[in-house]
Amino acid sequence: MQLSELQTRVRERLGDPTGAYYDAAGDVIAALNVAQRLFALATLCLETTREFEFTPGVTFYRMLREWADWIAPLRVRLSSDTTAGNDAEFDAQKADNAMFNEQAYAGLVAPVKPKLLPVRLSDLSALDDNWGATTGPPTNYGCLGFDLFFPYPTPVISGTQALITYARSPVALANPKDVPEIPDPDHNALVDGAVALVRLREGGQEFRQAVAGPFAAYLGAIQQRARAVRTRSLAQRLDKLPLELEKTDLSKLMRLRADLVPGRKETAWPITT
Amino acid sequence: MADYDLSALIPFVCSSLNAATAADLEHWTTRELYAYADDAGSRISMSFGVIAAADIDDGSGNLLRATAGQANYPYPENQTGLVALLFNGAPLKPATVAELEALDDGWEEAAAGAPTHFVQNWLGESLVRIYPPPATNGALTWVLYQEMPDIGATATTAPVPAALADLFAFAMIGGARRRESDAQMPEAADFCDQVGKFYDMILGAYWGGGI
Repeated sequence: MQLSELQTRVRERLGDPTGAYYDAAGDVIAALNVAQRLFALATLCLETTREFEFTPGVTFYRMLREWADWIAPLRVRLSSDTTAGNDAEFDAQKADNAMFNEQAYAGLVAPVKPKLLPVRLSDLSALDDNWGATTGPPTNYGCLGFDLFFPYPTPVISGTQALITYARSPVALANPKDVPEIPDPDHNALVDGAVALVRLREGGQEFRQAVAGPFAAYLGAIQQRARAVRTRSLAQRLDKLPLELEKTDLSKLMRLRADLVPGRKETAWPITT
Repeated sequence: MADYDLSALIPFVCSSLNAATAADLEHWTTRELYAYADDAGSRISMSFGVIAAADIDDGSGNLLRATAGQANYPYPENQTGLVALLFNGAPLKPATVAELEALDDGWEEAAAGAPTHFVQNWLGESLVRIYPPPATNGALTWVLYQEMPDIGATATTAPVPAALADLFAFAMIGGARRRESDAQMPEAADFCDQVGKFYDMILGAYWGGGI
């Protein structure tokens, strides 16, 4: 679903088809982007794999400085490409024969066990008293905080590359023909989320209804997608799973405190006299 | 790549506060809004250890070093938790004073040698003491958690993933709507608080247990 269609749907549900009131300054697009970012963050549904070349002798790396869309690592493996330079022919696979314009890095060999296992610093301290100074082909990796990435041992051979699969942030929606990167079945959830976020400026009954209805549907879609991603991630043996939402009580997020908003007293059913 | 620029959130924040642009804000200033974002940044960095660093320098681009014979070293600025301390790449073992006293009665005046341990919060909370003091100069690598850099109207960037940046937007809206004014809207503030707690769940699940 293109951004123009999403924008139209949000306006219609707000009762403002032309966007004169709710979308005078691109507010709907901003709300759609907020909804998409939160969806991607809570479900980790967007992944990408990129090559990362280690600097010889360097242990710690700041991944947000390398890739701005970085969220968290999912799988890290050493690349079997031991050559420098670009392929002479179009080839999406890196595991090909060296072409005439490719030079092999001195001393670099294809890894026997390319997958790097996740490890914590406390694990390294138990494994190796000298982990900060140990060098060699990496066998493990760790990540502290948002983006402090470290391989162990520290690679020292030029050209050592890792193929890092990581969860990423979505590209912002801007042009009318842009399509959200989250899965197609979840595009309607963005409409629901944006409706509630645009209503945030109004408060009162309108906002209460937007939270109880559309925003609840949006969170339900997040739960459903997170469950699917979690199942797939477990099957693929990824190192990080989406947030556990199945047993999480999100009711407070969808129910405003009764003392803040004048609420309508619910009528008992069946009515008795 | 640069840190995330939180000024990109201002249009969404302003529209949620019934203002077309920042100049149209009637009851708040952008300075106040960024202050709410700064509060949120400090809170998550203190609670979850999300800002980790190991490339600490002295402010002039020179990595910190240990000096021969010197035992005490000040913590780097803005540190909230020391994860590991390495001398020339070799990790030192964290120890308490009681453990070092059991190891060596004269540990405080031990002769210089290859450092093996460190004690935190020496002389209040300002210093780390290395035992024994290094016999030679060497690289001192601090692996630690830091407080979020200050966020303000003139410093609008934060080292956070782009998908997480909206946490600051909800902090701005919630803080603005919570403050007493003609535009006070406690239901909106409550919603933003609940969304903030949802982000806290995400922070704890993805980044809270790194050590």
